[in-house]
Amino acid sequence: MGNSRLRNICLVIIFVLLACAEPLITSRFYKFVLALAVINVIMVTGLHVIFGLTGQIFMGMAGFWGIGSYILALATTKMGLGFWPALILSSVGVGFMGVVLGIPTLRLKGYYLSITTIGFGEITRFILMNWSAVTGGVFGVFNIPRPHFGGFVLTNDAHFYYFSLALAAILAVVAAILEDSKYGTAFKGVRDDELAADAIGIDSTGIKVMAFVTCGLFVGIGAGLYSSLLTYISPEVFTLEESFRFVTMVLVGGIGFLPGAIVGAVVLTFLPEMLRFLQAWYLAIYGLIVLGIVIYQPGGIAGALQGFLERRRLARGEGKQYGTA
Amino acid sequence: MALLSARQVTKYFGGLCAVDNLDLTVNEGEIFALIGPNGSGKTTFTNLATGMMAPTSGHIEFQGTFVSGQRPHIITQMGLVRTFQNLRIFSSLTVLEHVTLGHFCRTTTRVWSNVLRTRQVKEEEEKVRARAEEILAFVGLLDRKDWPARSLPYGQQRLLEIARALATDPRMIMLDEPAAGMTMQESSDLIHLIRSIRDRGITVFLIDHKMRLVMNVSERIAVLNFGRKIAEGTPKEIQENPDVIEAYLGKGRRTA
Repeated sequence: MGNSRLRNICLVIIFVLLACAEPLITSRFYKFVLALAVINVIMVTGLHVIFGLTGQIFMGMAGFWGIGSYILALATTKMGLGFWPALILSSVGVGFMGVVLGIPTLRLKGYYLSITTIGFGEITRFILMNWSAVTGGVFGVFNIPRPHFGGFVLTNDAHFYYFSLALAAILAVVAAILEDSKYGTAFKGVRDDELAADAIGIDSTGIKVMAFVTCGLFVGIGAGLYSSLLTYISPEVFTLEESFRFVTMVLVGGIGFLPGAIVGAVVLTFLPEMLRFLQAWYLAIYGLIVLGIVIYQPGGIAGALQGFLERRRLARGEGKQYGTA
Repeated sequence: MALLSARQVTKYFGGLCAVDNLDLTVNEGEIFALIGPNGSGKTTFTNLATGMMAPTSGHIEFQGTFVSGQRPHIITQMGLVRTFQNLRIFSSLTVLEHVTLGHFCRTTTRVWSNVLRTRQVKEEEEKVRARAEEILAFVGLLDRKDWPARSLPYGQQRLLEIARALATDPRMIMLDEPAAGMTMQESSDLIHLIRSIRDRGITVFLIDHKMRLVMNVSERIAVLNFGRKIAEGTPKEIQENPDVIEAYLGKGRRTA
């Protein structure tokens, strides 16, 4: 399929650019933002599976992110687990949340699901904030360790960055393989027409739960890395606003196109930081930019790219491939 | 042998009785047609049989197992598949992908082996693709296999729905107004297609009100009017039945 080739080419270009970007950025702060961006890339890859491919508007990303971050933080600092087992635990833990949240809610359709998942995100935040005995309450969790390879600990931010980027690339490949497999076709089938999918023997609720779990597994890894990058986490980060930001990343990228979502994640991680000099105005400007994209380029980055390729092909006189013959 | 049987099936929508105490038996290997004027409960019966709705009372058996109230994908896996009167095409999938997805419920590889792309997965994909192409050739859409399904003309989208349903390896296929929106040529091709579906060993349950199609192709016909079965028999018997004529054409002065 032409579409998956375009996707693969774009993925390679994006990851090469991201690998080259680190030395080019001189400011310590922006190096840190870049690392955050790559962590968001991992998490948005998860959201791509449930929202982009399967079409479920999941507004509880902050909940998944918060749970994953706390699992790694608590497992390493309180349970004395090493970084690696803790990272696996946070991935599996959030994946399991996918089942717990998915089975009761995924019979809901469209906006009902969105509202329910908003509730899930908010409840998660309140639990993290108020269950002080376990989570440390508003004070958060300190001294979260960095990843290590044998005795070599990734305290250096650049090392940490390349490690995260490698994980992001592996997960993008996994997502791409999944998308091209029979399960990817089933995800898209459920997104396009759930009833028709049921009618041809596909358990669409099961498929949605599977997409939700995949999303959780991915987000858990990104969330674990987030804890480890910051070495300190507190509950006030995991807000509804962040859940919206993840959904916006997919929208800006173009629903269903993984490279688009990834670019969306990078752009929407940098944009608020770069607009910060505007102080009180920055949210308004940020909002206007996002609104502009949704109104004038509803297909997002993917739509713009496909439109460009189509125009170029027409200009070369190749014509439309699929006329009504 | 009875493949599908409905016993005293009733479906109310609020105060409206859409299907009224319906008894129906479809035998294995036949082409059976359910006809009736608009709003007579044909599509409702299809919805009941395929699990899209649960009957208010009564039950439906398929191969001796209760299917009424069962979930739709389970019924399809049991071998009873349907197509839709208003097309339900997956707008982002190609023609070939529609048919391979139709076979999804019969495939066995798990998600992990699909991510790891094991040898079994590659073999399965190859098998599914070959089978999908065979089915596309059967309905006459093979040369369009890489088209986005939404850009097919209407009549061919109907054929694609049939192909997608056949890919689930059904024992019985329910075709809900397959000729709607088809040209004359297309609907006479459809007659041949329906016969050759039966020749593949699949029982055909046809719902339509195009008389030319129904009378040509079906071996047994049941007629619904206001949710009630008013007649059942061979095409010839149905054509001569005064109740049927009345339901379709209204009461004449002579019989009043």
